[in-house]
Amino acid sequence: MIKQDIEILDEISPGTDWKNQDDLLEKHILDSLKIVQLVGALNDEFDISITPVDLVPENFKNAEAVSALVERLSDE
Amino acid sequence: MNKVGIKQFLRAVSFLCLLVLLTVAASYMLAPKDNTPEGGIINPNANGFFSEPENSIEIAVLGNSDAYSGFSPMELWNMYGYTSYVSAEGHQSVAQSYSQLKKIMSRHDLKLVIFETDELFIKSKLAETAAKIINASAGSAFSVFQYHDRWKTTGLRELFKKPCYTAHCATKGQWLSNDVKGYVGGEYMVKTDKKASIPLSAKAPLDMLVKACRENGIELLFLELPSQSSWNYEKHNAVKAYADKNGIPFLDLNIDRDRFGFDWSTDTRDRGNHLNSRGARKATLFIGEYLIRNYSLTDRRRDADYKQWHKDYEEYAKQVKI
Amino acid sequence: MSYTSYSYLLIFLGTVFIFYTVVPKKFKWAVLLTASYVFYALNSGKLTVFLLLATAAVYFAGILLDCIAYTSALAKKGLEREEKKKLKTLINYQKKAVVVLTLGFIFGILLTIKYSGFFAGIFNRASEFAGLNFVLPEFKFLMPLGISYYTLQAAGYVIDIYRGKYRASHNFGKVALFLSFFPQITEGPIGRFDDLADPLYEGHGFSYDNLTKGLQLTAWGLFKKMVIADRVNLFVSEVFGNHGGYSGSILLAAGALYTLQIYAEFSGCMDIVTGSAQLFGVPLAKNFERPFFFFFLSENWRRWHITLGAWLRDYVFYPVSLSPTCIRTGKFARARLGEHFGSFLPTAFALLITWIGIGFWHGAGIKYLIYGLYYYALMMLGMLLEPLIARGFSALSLRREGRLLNALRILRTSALVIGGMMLFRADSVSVWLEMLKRLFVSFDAGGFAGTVLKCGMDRQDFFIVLLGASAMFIVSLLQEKGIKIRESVAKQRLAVRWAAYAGLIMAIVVFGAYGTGYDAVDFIYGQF
Repeated sequence: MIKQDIEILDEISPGTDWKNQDDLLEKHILDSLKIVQLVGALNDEFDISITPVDLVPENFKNAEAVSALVERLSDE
Repeated sequence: MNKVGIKQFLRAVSFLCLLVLLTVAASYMLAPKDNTPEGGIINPNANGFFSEPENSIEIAVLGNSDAYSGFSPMELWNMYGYTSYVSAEGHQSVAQSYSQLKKIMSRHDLKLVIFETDELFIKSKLAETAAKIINASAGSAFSVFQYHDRWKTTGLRELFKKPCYTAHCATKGQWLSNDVKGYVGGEYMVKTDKKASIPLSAKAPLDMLVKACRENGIELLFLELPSQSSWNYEKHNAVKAYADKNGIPFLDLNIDRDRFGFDWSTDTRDRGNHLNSRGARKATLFIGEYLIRNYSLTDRRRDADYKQWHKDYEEYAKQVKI
Repeated sequence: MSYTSYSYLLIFLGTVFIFYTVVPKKFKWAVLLTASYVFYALNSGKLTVFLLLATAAVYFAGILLDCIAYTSALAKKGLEREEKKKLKTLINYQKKAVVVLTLGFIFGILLTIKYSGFFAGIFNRASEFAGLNFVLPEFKFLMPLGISYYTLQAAGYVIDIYRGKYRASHNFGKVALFLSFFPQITEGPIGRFDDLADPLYEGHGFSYDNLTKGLQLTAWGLFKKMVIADRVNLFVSEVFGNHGGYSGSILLAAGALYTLQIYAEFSGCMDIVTGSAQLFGVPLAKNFERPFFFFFLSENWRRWHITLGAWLRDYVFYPVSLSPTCIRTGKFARARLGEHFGSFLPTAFALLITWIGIGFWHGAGIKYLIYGLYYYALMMLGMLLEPLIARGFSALSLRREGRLLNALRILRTSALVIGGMMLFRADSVSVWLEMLKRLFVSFDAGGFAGTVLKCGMDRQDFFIVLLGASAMFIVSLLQEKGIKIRESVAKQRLAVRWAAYAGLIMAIVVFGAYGTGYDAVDFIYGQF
């Protein structure tokens, strides 16, 4: 799962070392525009629906958090 | 309070003391060192008493523009020999009057304060009123809030100089106008039992002013000069009530107009708001009559120390054209 | 009662602090609530009723949402999967209805008070143009204090409950305090219930640290506002007031100084109110993060009025861009128009809505709409041209980093920001365009030195502004490097500390632009 995520992340913002970033938001690697792009891609890829409620910093602070979010929503 | 608490408390108090000290020092340094317009003093005319010889003024007149337009110290001098000074400013608040009184008292041994009551009905901000009273009570030790901007014009040496007052105001604070713009409307003093209310921001400093006079053995007289646009019977009633309660005589020239030949068509410079120099002469002579009957003030006209006043009168008389 | 007045700083804040400190913990929130309503009523009188209406509306809506969720959870038990789904749809429908009605109500008040005159004006002009004899009354209402701020907070509260972020509060006092807290009611920061309500409500004991740090921050804010902003205002109001008589170079200076003014003032006010709130142990949200000297406009904007941007991001930009319509359009566009442009289109749409929101939020008028669109257009342009620029750089085999290039970028971004601020300050769009034109056709750099000291500020004024602004930028630079100013000062010896604090306060007293010769300047952002 996380590998797939990183592929998607790479498309959004190429050339980032995703695994070793602990705060994507603080460092402005992900801004609101990229988050929207990312969410669109994730929704398509995993057939989930990430809603505005899920768009909180905790869910996007690093690659693990993103895949945890995807996992949680896929279970529902 | 525990030990840490006491320490913190003491530290905070000492810091506040330091701030007060700095403020007082800054006030001293930035205060105008002269009462000329160039000296940076606000309203130089109202502060000319600083350069009158010490204890030479017996009567102080406090008030706003009505007072400096409608009271003539020189007419009073010429006819009765009393020495007076009009320390009035445009839109003077009662707190400001109190502040001016304190300043005059620091230089002159007053016998009588004439308070022009028009300003009693102007509301001002309570916080500002309080600040002015505190500053006045502390002998202008906090005047930096008023004069802080003088850092721009003052030189380094002037900061540490003692004040030296040199201005000379021949009219003793009166603002002369030879304009005649008569008032042609109807009677404005319509008798009523209704009473206007004096706002707290005026009443509180007025109480202090009354107390200051009383404590220093200074007589106090309330005066209302003729003003068609700012005066009415309701205000008269309010002042009368306050005056009666505190045993202060009140002279309302709006009511006594006919007794001194006042004429609205010739004695005002702006259609009934302020008096011109003719109106001021008439009003002052009438007030002088009242003073001679009710107070024991000193006639200085034969006093050699007051020669300058005769010269000032000549200067004044030259300027009066009506 | 302005935050810079004696009445607020000495009397109001002092009294509230004493009461807050002496009453038992249980009632401390009541002191804050009472103080907030006294503060509000002193400013807005009868209009306080609007604040109460908004508070009541979101309070009851929150409880209603909670009840719907609760009953549905009960009803769900023992239902079949299909029926569960049906119930869920129904519940969602009910919840949506509550939210829409509530938002309609609170924004309805805002729209009526703030915008009805503007829209009626547009309607009347249109009807005149069409030859119709139908005229709507153009009301001018008195604005309740901070309505643009508390309405956003109130809306955020209901939407968050609807989204299930947290549950509704059943404590009316808590909601009322969250919406009315006196330091932030006039011009923000726009707070979130889950951040703010508990610290406001729980009650904090006396803390020497909070007291001193709060006062220090307040003093720093006063310095920015009174020494820098209010002095610069002398120049700005003179030049913008008589813009026709000045050359382009003076207009540019006025634009730059206005940018300085609005920053010093708005961030200064934030420092004052954040300091005030710290006296009561309440942390307010950060509204500024040194929004200057950046390469890109988007970065400047992200650090400017942060809470407004964040509010619009969470409650406008995200929902719009994740709305089914937007997503569908995106897919469609990507298929037809290519990857870059296709994914750009829905974002562009969502951003458009957001920027129109930002523009109109500042005021009812074409000028503010254009102000929002100005930033929008510039950022869109940047995004659209990005592939082209990248290609250009690689074609010319130029590096995209480098000192000179970065300096040019900073210059460009600053120029764009100043351009936007000039619009913000100008009387109208046409005045702005006229001023921009003069920048190019009659710049008159040669005449600059001769006129610059005749526009309301003399040599000494400029000197003080220069000193003050330098102090401000140095502090910002240190903060940017991660240095906490107040803590580092606190570590110094007593003499150094006291010299710093007393120096700051005396600088405000002596060099503040207040009293005779200065008009009291209202906070610019208090008017929105």
